[in-house]
Amino acid sequence: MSKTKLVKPPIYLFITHLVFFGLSVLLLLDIVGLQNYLFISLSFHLIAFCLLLIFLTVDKTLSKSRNYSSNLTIPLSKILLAVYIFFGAYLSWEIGYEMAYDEFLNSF
Amino acid sequence: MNFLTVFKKKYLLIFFLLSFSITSVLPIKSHAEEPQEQWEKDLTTCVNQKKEVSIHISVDTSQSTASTDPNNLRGASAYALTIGLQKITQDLLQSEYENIGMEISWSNFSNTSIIVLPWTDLTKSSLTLSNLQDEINLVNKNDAGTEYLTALNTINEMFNTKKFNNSCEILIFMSDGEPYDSFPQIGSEFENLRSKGMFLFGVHLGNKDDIVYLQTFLGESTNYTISGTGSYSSPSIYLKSKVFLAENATDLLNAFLNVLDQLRAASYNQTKNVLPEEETIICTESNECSYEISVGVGTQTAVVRMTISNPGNIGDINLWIEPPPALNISNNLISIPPDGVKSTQFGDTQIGVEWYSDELGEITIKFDPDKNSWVGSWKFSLKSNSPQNRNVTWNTKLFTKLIPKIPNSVPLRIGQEQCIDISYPGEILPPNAEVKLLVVDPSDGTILKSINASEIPRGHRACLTPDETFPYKVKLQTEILYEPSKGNKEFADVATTDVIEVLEAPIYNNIIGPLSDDKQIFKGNQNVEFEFEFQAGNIDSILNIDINQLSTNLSPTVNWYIEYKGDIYQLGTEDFPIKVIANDNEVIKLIGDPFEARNLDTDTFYEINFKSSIPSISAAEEVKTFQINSRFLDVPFNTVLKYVLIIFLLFLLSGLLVSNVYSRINSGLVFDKNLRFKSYPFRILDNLNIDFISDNFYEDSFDNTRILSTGNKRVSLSGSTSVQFNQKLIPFIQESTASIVSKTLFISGFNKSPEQKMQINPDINNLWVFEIESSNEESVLGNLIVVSNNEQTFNTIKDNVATSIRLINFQDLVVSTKTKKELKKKDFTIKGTGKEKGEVKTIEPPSTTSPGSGTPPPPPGSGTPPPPPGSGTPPPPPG
Repeated sequence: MSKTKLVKPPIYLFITHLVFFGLSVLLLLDIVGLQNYLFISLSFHLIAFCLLLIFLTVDKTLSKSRNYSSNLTIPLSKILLAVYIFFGAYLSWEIGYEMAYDEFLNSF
Repeated sequence: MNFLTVFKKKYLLIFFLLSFSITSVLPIKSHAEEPQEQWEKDLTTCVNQKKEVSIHISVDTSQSTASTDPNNLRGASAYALTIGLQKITQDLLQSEYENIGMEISWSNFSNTSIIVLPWTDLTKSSLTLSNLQDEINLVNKNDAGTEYLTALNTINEMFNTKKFNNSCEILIFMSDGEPYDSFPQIGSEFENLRSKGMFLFGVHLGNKDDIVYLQTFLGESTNYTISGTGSYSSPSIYLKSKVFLAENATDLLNAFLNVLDQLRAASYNQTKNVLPEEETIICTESNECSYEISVGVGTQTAVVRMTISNPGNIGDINLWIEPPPALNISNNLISIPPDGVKSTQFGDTQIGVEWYSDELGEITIKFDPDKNSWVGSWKFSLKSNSPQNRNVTWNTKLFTKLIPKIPNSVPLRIGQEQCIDISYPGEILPPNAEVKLLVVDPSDGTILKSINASEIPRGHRACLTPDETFPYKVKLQTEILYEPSKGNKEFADVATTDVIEVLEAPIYNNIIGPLSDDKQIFKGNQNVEFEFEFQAGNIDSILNIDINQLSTNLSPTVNWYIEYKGDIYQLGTEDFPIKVIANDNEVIKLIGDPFEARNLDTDTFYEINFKSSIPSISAAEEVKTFQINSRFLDVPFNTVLKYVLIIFLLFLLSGLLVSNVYSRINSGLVFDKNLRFKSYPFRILDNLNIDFISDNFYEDSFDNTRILSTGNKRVSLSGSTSVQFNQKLIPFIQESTASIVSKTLFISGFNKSPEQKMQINPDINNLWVFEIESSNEESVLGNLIVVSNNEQTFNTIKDNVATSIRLINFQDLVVSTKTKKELKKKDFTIKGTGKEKGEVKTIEPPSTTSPGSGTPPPPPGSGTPPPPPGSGTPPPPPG
């Protein structure tokens, strides 16, 4: 009798977007003193966001399988989606303000 | 041996009788107002230059001296001079003054001459009255005639053998009469001595008319032609000669002491100040008979000489000294016994009293120049229980040396007043001083300006303001005329500064700006800069800066900074003042750092004050004020919002796009590996039973199925039916679906009425499709397509198909087929029955017991038991 192999989204994808999210936050705090840290932070955050969406996409497909098995990463990712959007909005505000400021300065 | 006793019985009454009549011609009668004689100046200069003195005393011991010097004061005089010089020399060794080396020798002469005292270095000697007694006796002799040439031979011999090679040579030649030997020869010998630059001091004892012999031989006078053995007149005046007249023995002693006084003044580089002679009586202890002098700042030594009338100090006279009260001397010290005192301390002074003869005594007072308690009135009196109508003549010489101090270097700048303080030892002002500060041209010593100084508590102060007439370099020096004693004016030493460079007139800092007249805009939180050109003056200065806002608008607070020479200074902090180096030219940046960004409709004006001051000149500040204009502007909110929305939407769209693309590439149908399927053709006739044309599905097993050729996005089930994955726009939110798409009508587990397209779950591991190929009123032809991943699923489908078929209204199926598709006008042939086409029948749902061709379907659950969930091949990889 063969065992049922449960289907779930790959954990490495979940961890990877968390890592990028963490890097993005660290860069925002400018702990390494990088210039243009906001853009780098947004870039990392965009990668994290895309990976999260891919993760959710995979989950949506797999969830139709009879062997699908949900775990903690799924509800957590749904919460994180909101967090990522808010964080993305914040970064957009910061960068958008800077860009607007640049345009403002160049208008003189 | 008591010195007094030696001479007590040997005095000459005639000298006493004549003493008052001749005092006017003696040097001791001179007083301060008298100009210094040339020999005195020359002697002082020589001693200061050579620092060594060789003195030879040549004493006449001819028979005539028995009458002219009955008390043998010649020896006492030589002794007094020798001991006095020894004391001066040895005092100098212990003082801060430069040492003066002195050597002395004695000789006597009559018709022969002998060396009485060979050259004796007074810096090392310890001569006393007792160990000089033999020498004193030798010069007190009186025998034979007077022959100068023998004396001159000895004199020449002595100066040729002196120990100090480069010394001032002084000859003290004492005689009481006309020589017997050749006048021209004597004159020649003295001229020879003159040619050596020797100081020639003659002391003529006796008849005043005979003084011309010595005056002529020594060159003091050219008025006479002296005759004796031959005749002689001096060819010229010799300025380094001086002949003293001593009409009595006491005068002789005074004459020697005058030489001593001059050597003292020269050795200490002091000014000799002779006070007017006064006479008092000698009184009893209860009476007052004092002689008073006033001693002021600058006096270093006072020598008070006492000449007592006959019978002199016969051992009954006490000297009373009453110093100024500030010295605070006890009463038992102020009385000095008749035999004098070698040295005693009177507070800040040192006093010595010595009686050289019964008639002549001397008080020497040394004042501490760094103290002032001794300044004031000093009283002296001689008292005896039996005064015997004796008088005492007081002759005082004050040796003064006031050394003022001024700074070595004083900054002088054209147009800038500078005050120079003149101070004195002990910080006591010299009395009645006329103090001037002279500005001297150091190149030629000319006095450019004389400034009267005014008194300040600790000295004098003179202020001058150099002008354009001043040369490039000057020297300042003092000219101080003061009263060391009442009524006597003396010049103090001259204090000079180093050569001072007179600096050009001060130029103050110049500030120009702002270099750009443009209004500076505070853009958001950004700093603004205003530049000023700064030209430092020619003197080091300090710069203070403050700034005030003139406009009363809602401008935010601004932190202002100054950038000067690369350094940043914050206004209003201890960073200021800035030290400015002379002649620096820099651009000063005024930097404004706003606390916050703000949008204002009006300009904001500020006033900036540059305050320069030159501490070395004064604390006064020169203020230069500038007005600067600025405007506070910030980023418009709509611009910010525009950029924020663009970036945020790009962010969201990027995620959406990526997920969508990913889904398009990787998402698809869900099925196990090696998914199997099988198609079962059937027909349904009038009896509404399903008649499987080939294999009977209900009797078939999973093992008879075939591997389904699968695709990620699409799986073809037959020529007309397939399953397709439905791509979602937002695949991470939208549920994944697939669709069964067919060219014909079909019924599946998902739809009970015939459809050509049906949305289903993308998991196709358990799927059956009842595909209708054709139908008419009599029969329906089609295929039952079964897709399963294992046997259990296969069996489950059997149940589902059986159950589902019962519910199908085949009449409707036919109608629907006609109306929707018109069955493409395709006739179909019922395989295995041979019935005509066009027969329409209601299809009965299949029953497990229903009749029909083939073996009736097995009851649910029959056959091999279904595999457990999850059995079979594993699912495909995600997506």
